[in-house]
Amino acid sequence: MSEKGLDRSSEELSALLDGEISELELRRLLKNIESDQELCQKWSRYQLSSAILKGQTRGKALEWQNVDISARVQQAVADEPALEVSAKPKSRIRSGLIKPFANVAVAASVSAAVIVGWQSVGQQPINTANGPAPALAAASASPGPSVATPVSTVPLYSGQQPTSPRAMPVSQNNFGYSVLNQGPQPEMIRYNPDVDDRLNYYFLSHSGNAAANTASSVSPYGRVITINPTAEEKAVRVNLEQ
Amino acid sequence: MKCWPQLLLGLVITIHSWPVVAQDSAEQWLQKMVTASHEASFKGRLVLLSGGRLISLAVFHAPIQGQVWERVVHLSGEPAEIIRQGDRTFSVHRMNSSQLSSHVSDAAPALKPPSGLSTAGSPVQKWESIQQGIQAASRYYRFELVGEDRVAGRPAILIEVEPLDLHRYGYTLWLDEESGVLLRSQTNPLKGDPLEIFEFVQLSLVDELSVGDFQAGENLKMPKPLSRSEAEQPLPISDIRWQAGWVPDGFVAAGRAALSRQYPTVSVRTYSDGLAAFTVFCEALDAPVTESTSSRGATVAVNRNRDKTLVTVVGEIPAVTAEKIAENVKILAVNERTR
Repeated sequence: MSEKGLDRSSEELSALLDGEISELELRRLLKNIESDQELCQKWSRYQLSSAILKGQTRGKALEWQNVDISARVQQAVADEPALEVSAKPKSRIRSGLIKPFANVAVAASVSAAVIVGWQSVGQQPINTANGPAPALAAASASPGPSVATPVSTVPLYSGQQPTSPRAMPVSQNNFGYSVLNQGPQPEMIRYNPDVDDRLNYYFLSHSGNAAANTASSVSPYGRVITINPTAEEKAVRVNLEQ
Repeated sequence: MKCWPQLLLGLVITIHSWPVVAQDSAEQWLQKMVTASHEASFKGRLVLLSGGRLISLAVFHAPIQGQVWERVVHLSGEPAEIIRQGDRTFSVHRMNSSQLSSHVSDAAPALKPPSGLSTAGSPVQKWESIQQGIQAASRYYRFELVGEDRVAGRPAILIEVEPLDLHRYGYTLWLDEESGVLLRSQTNPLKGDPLEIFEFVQLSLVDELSVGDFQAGENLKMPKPLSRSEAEQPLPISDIRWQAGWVPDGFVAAGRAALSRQYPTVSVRTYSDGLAAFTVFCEALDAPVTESTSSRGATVAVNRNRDKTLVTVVGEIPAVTAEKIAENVKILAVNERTR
């Protein structure tokens, strides 16, 4: 690519990061980024610096610098059933957007987590001596999943959210939460069917206990957002297919 | 007529004590709030801002058949209701409705002699009622009557509740001047914006709400009531024996905990300091899960693997505190499950 072309791409990249990119520029950028390794790395750096500025890296910036998730994402894309984009001629405008979007969704499936419900404020590697975690079972198809990677992949994507609201579908829907201001910045929202269904039950139980044992009884139940897992899955799927 | 002066005196005292109502101490107002949460009968609408989301709810609340009944209707999103009828709590959806029942917690040493579980060394005791809770709470919070305000078109008393250590959040409470009902509450972290705000936008104190007001709305299915024999069957007791190695000062184990028949193997114990509460769940697992700390508004949830057991702490407490609680849970015994 000529230097001028790269400059323009860089500008477009910044625009994308700031959420000010036009439809046309986005298409061009997506086309270029496929073939341009340098542009790809630039995007990665932009995201990383954005994450650092927002204080999302929690001192792990160096570790993330060289994370290459593209291979794992590609693998996951290959494993993923094809999205029937062409079957929907009406959504031509959207089909331009489906690429980054689908990638995010697939990246989520790499970490065996669809985003819903609870917002993670920190994660610890499990004690692998006790055997593999069921939570990671679904990720076993993709090469070399390690528990630490899901966390590290996230900031690369979280910066995309302002760009296209669709890029983080689930965090935009009814089930997504974000923390107002609570200590460390949350790193990601993930949904793990095993853990979250249990967590939601725990949450309901806790609300009942709190209502019975604290002075203010109404608010605990107000907190309970009763989640119907099938509806969530549907929401995820609908978003994917749009 | 010798009794006239006394009558007059009585009248004077009555007149004098009248404005004192508004000058009650913060503790007295909190006491009033507690009483209202048991005895007041009201319905209204409120908004809840939690974790960056705004939720609107309709609420019905009344003492019925000697117990607190409550119905919380989600007005936006997927239709859902939480209906609490005394000890029973129903979570009602169009599908997948579920029921929890409040049972004597397996932790309540005063009520159930421990079998193989030594609670003697446990740092917690059980307290009888929330009334005592407020008194006990004054050792861990500072209450201050800040002034008067207006919420839901009603005059309100504003009370600031400040924690005396880092293991609990502070609160700003607006109480209805007429009834003591909590009209608005803010959960405040040590620094920064409130984690959670709930506020009535409309409240009517009504004389009587009937059982019919506590039934699920249209298109929602209440879970099938248990048959008599099912209901009388005791819940299977969890086969996990555990002990809290550390809880923050002032948090004591409540005697009852909400359990579901769907999850009989989970051991549940709730701790409260009168204002905040957290619940510890212990469940035997074949394989460990990813350990995590998550939050949702003021509520935090912490997962930890301990001796083939998943320990989960859920509560309105700071994340660091919840993590410490979870990490200090001691698993005493896990019996092999028969499947």
